[in-house]
Amino acid sequence: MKPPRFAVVGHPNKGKSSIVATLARDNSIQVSPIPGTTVTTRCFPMQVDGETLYELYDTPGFQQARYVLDWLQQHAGSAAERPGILRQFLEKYRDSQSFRDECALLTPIVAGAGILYVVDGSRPYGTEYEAEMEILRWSGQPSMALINSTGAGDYSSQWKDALSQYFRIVRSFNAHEAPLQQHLDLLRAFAELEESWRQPLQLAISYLQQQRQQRLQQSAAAITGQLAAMLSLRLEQVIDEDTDETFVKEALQLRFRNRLHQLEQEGRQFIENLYEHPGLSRHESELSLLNDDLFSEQVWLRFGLTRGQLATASAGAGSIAGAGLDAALGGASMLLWTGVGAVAGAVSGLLLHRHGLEITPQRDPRGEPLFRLGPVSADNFGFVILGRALTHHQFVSHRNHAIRDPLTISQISQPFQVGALSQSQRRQLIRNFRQLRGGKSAKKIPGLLLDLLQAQEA
Amino acid sequence: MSDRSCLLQDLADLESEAVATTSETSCRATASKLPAQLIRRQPLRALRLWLRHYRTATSRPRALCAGLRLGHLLVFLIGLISGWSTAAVVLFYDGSAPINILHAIVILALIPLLLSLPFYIGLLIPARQLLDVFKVLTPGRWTLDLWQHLRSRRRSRTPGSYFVIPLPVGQHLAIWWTQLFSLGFAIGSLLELFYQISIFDLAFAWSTTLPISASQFWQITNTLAWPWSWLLPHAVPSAVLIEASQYFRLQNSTTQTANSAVLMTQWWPFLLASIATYSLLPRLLSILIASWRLRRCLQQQLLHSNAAQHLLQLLGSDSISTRSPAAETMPLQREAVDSPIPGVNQLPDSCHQAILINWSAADKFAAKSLEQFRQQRNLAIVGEFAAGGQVTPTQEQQIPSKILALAGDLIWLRVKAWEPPLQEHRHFLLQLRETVGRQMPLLVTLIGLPDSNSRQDRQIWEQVLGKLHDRSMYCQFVIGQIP
Repeated sequence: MKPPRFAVVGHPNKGKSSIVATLARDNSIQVSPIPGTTVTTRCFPMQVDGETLYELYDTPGFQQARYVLDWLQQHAGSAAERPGILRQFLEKYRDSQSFRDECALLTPIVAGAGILYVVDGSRPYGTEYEAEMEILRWSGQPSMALINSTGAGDYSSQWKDALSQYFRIVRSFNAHEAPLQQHLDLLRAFAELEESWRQPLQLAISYLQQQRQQRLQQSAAAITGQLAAMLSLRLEQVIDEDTDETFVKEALQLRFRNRLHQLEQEGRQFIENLYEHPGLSRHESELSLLNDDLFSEQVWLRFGLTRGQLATASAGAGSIAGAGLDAALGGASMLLWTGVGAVAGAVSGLLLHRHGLEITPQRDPRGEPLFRLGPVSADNFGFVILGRALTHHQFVSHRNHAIRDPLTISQISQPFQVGALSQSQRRQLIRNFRQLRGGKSAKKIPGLLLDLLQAQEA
Repeated sequence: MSDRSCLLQDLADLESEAVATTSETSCRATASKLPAQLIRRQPLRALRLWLRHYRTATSRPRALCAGLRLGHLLVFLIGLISGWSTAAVVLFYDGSAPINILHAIVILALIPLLLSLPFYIGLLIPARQLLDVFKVLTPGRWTLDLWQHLRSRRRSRTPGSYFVIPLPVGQHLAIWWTQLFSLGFAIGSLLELFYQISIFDLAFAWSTTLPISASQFWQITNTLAWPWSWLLPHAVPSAVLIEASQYFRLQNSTTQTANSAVLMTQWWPFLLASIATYSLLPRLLSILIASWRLRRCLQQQLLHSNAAQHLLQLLGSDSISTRSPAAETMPLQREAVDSPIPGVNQLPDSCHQAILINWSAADKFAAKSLEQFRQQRNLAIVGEFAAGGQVTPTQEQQIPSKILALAGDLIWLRVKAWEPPLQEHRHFLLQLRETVGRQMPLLVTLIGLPDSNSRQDRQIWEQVLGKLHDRSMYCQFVIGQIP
């Protein structure tokens, strides 16, 4: 059985390609305000392990709809003959330049594709659309209308009134802003068009949901890896006899910062590739929070915990560690270690609120002097890395493929707020950050991060 | 040995940039060579098989594997030479005085036994702390530091290819190397002992300042020989041997032991069994345990590394593709507009009789401002036509000839700027010019919306109209309003 096919058609410049780019998650599609950017029909199959579940067709816009309709009306007899007349029109003009765009867009429809008629709800309705809708009605194919929005205006009620006279299903869908749930809702609406399409489309929806969940898990694992690498980073610089120590220290600090930057960039690149946004450009000035130096005051204030929050969370983490010792002693210590752990944690939280990055003199295996830098001892550093990684993830995972602008801060609906973490989450994170800093594995981190990422999704 | 080295190579390859940047399609293509269900049932084996196929496909060198094997060999050889040399010093005999069996047992059997204890204690206490405590006594740790140092120097020459050995792996590797060194030491001392007893005659005796009688010493040696006494009874020193082989350096050793010279050579089975039992066997056991722990640590690291998790998830999940397999056909290069279309302020003053063409009822969006403009310019409307929208092509095609029949000196076309210029606009304008000629001024009024991207709409229209190269065309832009 042939998979369901959908041709995305409409007036030029109304966002057909944007809708296809968003649904097909393909940012290679040319999206432009200049009419006539799409010149041929292009197929976007949704395939799972090589099996096609549905196909989307991006098509050029109508250029001479009234002339096509005029030709059809001149040749038509009864309503039953209309699809056949449409086929005749295609046969006649397929190889000519007269109705090149109309032939391209009608070909998949005549071959059995469902119709997704796209209009721009930010511009007023006009009678010039009626010829297009009439032609589509002549095809007799299942159809639905999508009200996209490319601008600030809102004329969707006008459009709904007009479109509902031609289409059984009318939906609003903003190709630039619609979250994944709306993409899936749209697929569910496609399934309503034809009984035989329901099963493959439901299968496609469940695969896309699974994939999203897997991507969140992969993101959690990747951010954990990034945290581990950045929190445990330690660099050494051998001191040559004829080199000034200050220069060596500065070189080491520079190398350290560069390496942290590189690790952060690698993490971001992984997330961008995961969500199929390779080579995403960023609007640096508007993304200062993500691009500023990791140790800048502004970044620590934005993503780190305050001194009080850190002391409380550290006290919690310390008390849990102490409670473990008390439990091991069978309670004979009268919760002494719980108290000691809490106090020690709180004090360390207060003392290590800021960077805690010091250069220490050491010796290498040959006995030569060297300087060692890292790992960063401040617990807040983990929150800073985490905050930036989660904010970046939010940017990328919610970005639709129709968007061609560089990444900007305005695209984030809810940037990561460290204050949104519960006390228990903060405590667990601090304990896990410390484990990672010591080069140990922190098995709970991926699960914690997955919870945070899923909260972002919600 | 090869499995551990290869596991580390696998870990390095898995975390390498090359694997990280391998495309999903390529990853899946390599995975297609693996047996079905392997990824789900034996993920580690699947991962290693995948890496093997990947290395074959990419001809990736196994430098780390080779370097590590060389390291193993060197550590073992150094241990072997150390053991041989130590035994050679301890077993030095020139016939002037017998070798003190006590000295030989302490150096070649009991001290190695003592040094193997930290390993066994380390099984109970986390390895890292123990390594720190006995750092000076662990040749594996020196080797690891040296190897890391050499690798970090090499990194400066080949940046990007450097793999940082994870801390737990480094710890277990250091422990394993220590056991390998000690095993080499035990084997080296045994070989030297074999060599000495095979080639030379070695006379052993026992001597101590402590007030130990021959019977007490017999008890001690019997206790030491207990593990092998049932298997090798002749390797347990007899009371007669002990009695006969006690000596004091102040006495003339030659006269003291001349009658029992043959007897004194009979100590070597005891020494051999002591070294084998107290030096070699504990190290054989420790190297087996260390080897197992290192392999397990490497397997854990490999399986739980982010790269492995990512790869397994990728290979274990369905391949979902929504992209087009075909590249997009690019539109033809847009023709550059030579010069902008003149604005309405350049419209000839001689124009007073306008013929209106209202495209798709556009004028209802700017009726007031257009009427103001008409009055300002003192334009009289001598004819009015509807085009576009619901007008049929037949009706539209008659407009040019009807215009020709009117006594107008200006054609005034009003269009919606927010709707893009189409082929039908172009055809209509070309047909109009063909009928009325290229001289009559044509004013195109673009009506924009207050909430629309008017600037962009206007640019698009001007670009398309400019391509008509109509020298009598003028362009006006007005912001309308929703009626």
